[in-house]
Amino acid sequence: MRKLFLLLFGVVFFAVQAMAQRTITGKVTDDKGLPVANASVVVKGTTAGTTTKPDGTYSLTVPANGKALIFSAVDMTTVEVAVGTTAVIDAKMISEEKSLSEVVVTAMGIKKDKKTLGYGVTQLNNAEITKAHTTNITNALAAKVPGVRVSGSGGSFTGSSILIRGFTTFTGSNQPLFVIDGIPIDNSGGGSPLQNGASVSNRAIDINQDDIESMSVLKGPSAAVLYGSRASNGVILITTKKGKSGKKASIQFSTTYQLENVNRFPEYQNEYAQGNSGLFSPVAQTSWGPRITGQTVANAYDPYTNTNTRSEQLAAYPNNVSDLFRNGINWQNNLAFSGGTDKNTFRFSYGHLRNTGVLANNVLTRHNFTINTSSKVNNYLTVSVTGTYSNNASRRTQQGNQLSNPLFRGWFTPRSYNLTSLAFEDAAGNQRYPLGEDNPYWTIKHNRVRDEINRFIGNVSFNFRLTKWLQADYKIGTDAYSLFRHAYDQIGARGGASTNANGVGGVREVRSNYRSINSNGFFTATKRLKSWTGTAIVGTEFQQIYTNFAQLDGKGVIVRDFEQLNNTTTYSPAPQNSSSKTRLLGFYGDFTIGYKSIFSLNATLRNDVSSTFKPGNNSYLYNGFGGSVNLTELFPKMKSKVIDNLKIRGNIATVGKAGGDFVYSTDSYFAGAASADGFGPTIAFPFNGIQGFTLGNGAGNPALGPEFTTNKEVALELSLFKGRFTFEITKYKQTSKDLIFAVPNSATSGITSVVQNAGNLSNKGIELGTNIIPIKTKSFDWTINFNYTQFKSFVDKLAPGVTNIFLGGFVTPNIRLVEGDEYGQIYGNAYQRDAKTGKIIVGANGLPLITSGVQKIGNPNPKYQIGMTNTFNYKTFSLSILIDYKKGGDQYSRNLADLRRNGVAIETAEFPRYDGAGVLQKPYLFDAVYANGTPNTTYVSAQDYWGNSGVYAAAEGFIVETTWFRIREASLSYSLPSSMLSKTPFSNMEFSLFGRNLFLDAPNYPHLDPEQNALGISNAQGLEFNALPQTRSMGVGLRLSF
Amino acid sequence: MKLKYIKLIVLSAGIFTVSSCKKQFDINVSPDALPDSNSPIEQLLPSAQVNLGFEGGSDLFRFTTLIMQQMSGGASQPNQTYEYYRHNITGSDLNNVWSSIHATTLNDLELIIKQGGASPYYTGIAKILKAYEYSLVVDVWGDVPYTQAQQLTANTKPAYDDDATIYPKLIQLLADAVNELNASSSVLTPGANSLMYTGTWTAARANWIKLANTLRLRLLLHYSKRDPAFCVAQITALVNTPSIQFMASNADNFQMRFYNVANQRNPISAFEVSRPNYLFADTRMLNLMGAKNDPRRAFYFTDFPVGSGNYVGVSATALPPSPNNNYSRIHTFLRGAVVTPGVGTNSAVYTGDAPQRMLPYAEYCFIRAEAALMGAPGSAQQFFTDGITASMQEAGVPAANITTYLAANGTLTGTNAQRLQQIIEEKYVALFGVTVEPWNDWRRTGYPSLPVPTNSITGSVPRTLFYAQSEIDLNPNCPGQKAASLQDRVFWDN
Repeated sequence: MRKLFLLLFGVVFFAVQAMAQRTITGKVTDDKGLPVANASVVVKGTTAGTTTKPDGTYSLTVPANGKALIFSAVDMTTVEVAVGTTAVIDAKMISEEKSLSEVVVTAMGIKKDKKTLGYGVTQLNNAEITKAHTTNITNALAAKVPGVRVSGSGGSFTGSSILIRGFTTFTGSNQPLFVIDGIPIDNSGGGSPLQNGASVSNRAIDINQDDIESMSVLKGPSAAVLYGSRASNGVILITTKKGKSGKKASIQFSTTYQLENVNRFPEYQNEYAQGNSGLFSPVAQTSWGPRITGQTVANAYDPYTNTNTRSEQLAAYPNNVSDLFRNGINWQNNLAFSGGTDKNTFRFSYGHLRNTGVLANNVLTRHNFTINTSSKVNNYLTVSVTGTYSNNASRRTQQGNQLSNPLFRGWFTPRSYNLTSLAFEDAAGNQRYPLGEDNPYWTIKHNRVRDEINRFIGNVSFNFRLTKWLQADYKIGTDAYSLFRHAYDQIGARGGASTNANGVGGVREVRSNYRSINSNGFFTATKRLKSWTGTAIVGTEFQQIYTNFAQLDGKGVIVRDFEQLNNTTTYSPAPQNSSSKTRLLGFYGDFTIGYKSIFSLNATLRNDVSSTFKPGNNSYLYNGFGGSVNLTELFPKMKSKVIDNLKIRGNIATVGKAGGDFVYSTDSYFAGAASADGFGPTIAFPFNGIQGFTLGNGAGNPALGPEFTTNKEVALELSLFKGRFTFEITKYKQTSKDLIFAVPNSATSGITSVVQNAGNLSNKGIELGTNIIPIKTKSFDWTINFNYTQFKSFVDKLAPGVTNIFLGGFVTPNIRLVEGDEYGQIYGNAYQRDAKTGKIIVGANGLPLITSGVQKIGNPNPKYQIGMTNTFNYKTFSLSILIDYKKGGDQYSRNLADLRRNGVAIETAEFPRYDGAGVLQKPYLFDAVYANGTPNTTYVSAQDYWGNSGVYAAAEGFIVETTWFRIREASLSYSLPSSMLSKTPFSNMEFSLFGRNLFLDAPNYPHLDPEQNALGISNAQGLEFNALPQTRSMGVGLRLSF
Repeated sequence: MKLKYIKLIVLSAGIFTVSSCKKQFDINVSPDALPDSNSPIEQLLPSAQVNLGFEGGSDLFRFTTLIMQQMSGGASQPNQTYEYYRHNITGSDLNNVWSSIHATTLNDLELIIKQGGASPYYTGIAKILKAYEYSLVVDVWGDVPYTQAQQLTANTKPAYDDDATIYPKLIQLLADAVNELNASSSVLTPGANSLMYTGTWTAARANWIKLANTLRLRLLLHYSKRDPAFCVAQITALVNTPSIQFMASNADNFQMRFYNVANQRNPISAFEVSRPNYLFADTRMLNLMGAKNDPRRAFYFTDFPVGSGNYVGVSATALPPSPNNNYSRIHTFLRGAVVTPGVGTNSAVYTGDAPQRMLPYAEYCFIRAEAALMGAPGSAQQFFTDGITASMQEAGVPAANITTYLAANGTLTGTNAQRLQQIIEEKYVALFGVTVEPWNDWRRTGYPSLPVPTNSITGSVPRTLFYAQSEIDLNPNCPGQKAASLQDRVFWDN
């Protein structure tokens, strides 16, 4: 321990040596011969150093024992020059982009030359990730990586899902594994509640983007096979920033300030009042009332006497909904201190983020403290220590299909209800609202959810250089956090809120802990024999994950607003209070052989032992093979002025998956009894002091074993015009078998499901990445980065007798997996259609007839996605614009339906609803036929057309196509040129203007931003149910180094 | 540090990791749940009773009370009750209750029956409750799995039994139950776990036995349409056996108690809280009561406007523009005492501790009255009077008002058909809040006559409900979905 202590602090203090000295001068130039200003010049092994002047010259006093000078500068390769006898040392530095033979970080943190890889890896650097300074790092990946689909669920700090190359399992998680500096971390959470409570963030939100050096996306089993059981969905590999050896200590400071608002706002009609069938009603949810002409009505009610006798002059309140929202503020600050000698490097940083939501009482605050040190103990041993502590606290609002969600009906507040100004509560805090749901302002203020996470992620790693050709690495690390979530439901809440307290008020406390320990050791042997290179990696990994979860509800609040459990009359623990422990032991080997840079062959195998299966089924072996041929190296004649590089690669790899989502599923259990029917009434035990147990409806299965996913891919990489045009296309097919899921069965057996290895899935996809530099001059360049993602996931087989799996949603609509169809289809009831013409069938009243059963009504999976970044650099100005185009993908939009069927959307007043004499107008005609096949000629009124018997009679009517074109991110930055900075203490100063979701065109999706998902991170996509709206943000930033 | 030592450290670290022994990976048993190897029958019984009681005021209650026009959803568009009321009760709407009945209630009962052999007091109660629950299943759906049901993973797609063959088994189950309850000893005695009948075990046991026998009468009465002679003969045999005890007062009511505590409230009342404006009084029920100035009305329904003494219902044949909240709502009889009175169209706040009634003593009286009318022993008139009296007393009607009511409406007159109508219409009012049985009576006797709601999608009043969509999807042995008209008949409805 003491040694570790010394090690940690030793790196900070530099031994200063005082010896005989002499002065060396020189000039530093770049590859074009231009002077490099502000380059650091350090005597190797000391802190003695200086920086170059704007003309590139320097003068430095060097101690007598100074052996070498180290030159380093931003975006330049570090150069080391031995100190001889000469008094003048010039140095030539080349910019890093060019010199890099594109080294990418691959599995286990192994750096490899991308040229020799047999599989696809996309790496993003810090600048690419942080352009728009999103709160959740997951969102920063959107549209940037081919083969990756990021789906936000609305709101700036809710969950966002990442899907790499399609789905690999049915009901378990399809989210990739996150690895930080070699330690797998937890990215759970991010689900949105369907009926109760607030949505939560996926835990990747704890990561400070400013601490990230690079992010590698390992796509699918081939790239990730070394990570074994957890890697079938791919891996997001994060490498944090480190101090650089030989660089002078420096301080970096950055700050950004953004405003966020609702990205897209519905257009409302302001012509017709609250009511029904043209008649005013103070309790109607809808705005199908009379035309507003300033008439006097007995309006809503007097908020103070709770009677509906108050007369009021009828008026429209155009901003009654928009006033609910405010500007959110996103403020981020980062301070880092880093540097290093040739032996020791260090980096400390502190990050602060505060993001207020577009609804009041919604805020997230995050603090990150990070330390990164590395020390060469001697010629053989390097020890590195990395650690991040983060504290993440937030306040949130009720979500879901419930009366306490302020947006459940808030979007269609009657046009003539003065929601903004009418009091929402009386002096005692009792809610005042004539409609059935909670007043939006009241529920935002009073039904509160807050959470706090304290998390530590860190590792110690040892690198031993045993011989010239053999080294050993050992790393042990942890990800541990505790989460506390607290919810308070006010007395008088009409919705379920968090605790379903039926209006008597409730308090919920959730405490959960996550703790993983990961130990990983491997040997790397590298041998060169003439033109042949061989690398062998052999290692073993052990991981243990422990979680626990405890929830306690108190109901019957006694003193208003006193948010403690002891302020309630009854307590009930959640039936699912639980803990789990899983262990995974893996042995792996990775063998690569290469000939020059012409071809390489790679074989990987891994054997896992997983505690989630019974002995006998718990040890399983899998492997991967890949190869690449560089045609331009093989046939040098192919190289021309046009073609620089042409490579073909391919691989086949299988990963076994431990089914971490099915821990303890090898047995069946009794569970605490309860009763509920989905309408709110609930019985909890102990009931009148008596405890009850019931056999769990889901049965376990001792025969469970691993799932396997096999990926086959071929790719072509092409580089033209000296790297000005690079192109990479990959085609893959991925099959997953033995998928574990709770196979539903007839409830008459006494159980409703049995967990089984039952299904098969397959994915087919193409992804494309190109980088084009159309213009490159001394002071101006233009880069286009383009990526294309297309994949389809098919449900090839479910269990015998099972035609579908219910992934989420309601009776109608819901999201299902259906054998033989694409993954996650939207099901619901539909319009009856004429067999001949395919037209809707209407009844004699001109309104559609609907099917009684449910059928497929939509496909939420996009056809393809395109991301394109245009970057323009002019001198030290840089402009970057990221365009995100998504083609296809259906969504069931309840918000949109609500706006229309309740008569608030502008199109519902497109035609006069009544003529001057008050006669109901019937301007709408369904393009339909009667049951006998003759064309429909029965016109209907606006209320009928847009109503629950018209367009929205069937779930099919709620389906909207979500194709979008959006400017996802844009940033403009300006760095002060070094000539201006030379007289300041700053080595770098950059100003930026940036924004996210700046423009949206969704041609088929009116009124709202289609980027929403009722179920957050879930395999069920395509339902939109009164969720928080997507936001647009714009901000300014400043970055300083000195 | 010498290279040698470093090598040693690396090697030992490797061995340490590798040498984790096999036992370390055999840890996949949840430390937080009871394994299925040993059934906790003492805790299964409370679970089964509460779930059965809850189901009594849940989906099936709502579907049948709406079909029977005791309550209306006709003013509640766009809520589900509006659809139910117009007979748009889809297979998917039945998923929840189908699963709850079979995989929770019946399964808990079956585990007690299978594993509680040494404790006949437990198995006896379990068999009564199973017979009750299964009779509802048959009454609603007709053919259902019986002989192959509840076998857990051993058979996940049970075959279907002819509903006519299930009823006799249920009646036998009740006879067996009585024998088991009369056993001289039992390893476990229910005690406080007998939630539906409380008190000393001796007292509770007598109640359970009375329930078993009364339930046999209910099942036998269901044969009245299919085979009246069989019905009369069987009931006669039963009531003539002196050792067989039946319910004798409201104290014997088969009901589930609920409490004025969060999550322990009557499900009908809890539904009114979580889904206000989904259910209002129906004119069919109100008119029937209003014509006789029935004093139970003030306990069953709220007046509207509050304090007016007027009872306003939704008419199936003259539906108002929805939504409209200007109607009478469910009142104290099904919701417990008023805590805070209602104002305007807002509902009052109730304690929610009304019992969930499933087979009250009043029903026994009406069963006997009807049987007597058909030729079974006893005085139809006396049982008729007793039934009305019991129901009124249960509702809290003062004795004087009962007397007044009986004087005006308590005499059976006219033809047998007219007398039957009188009995069933009184039973219909008395069984307000009882799930399914009023619908059974209507299907057997046609009383009370029901108008078809103007917007009914079936065009006539349903005689069955769809199988749960989940069952259609998951059980290949299911005979297939019912006809869309919902006019398929269960065996005793022919």
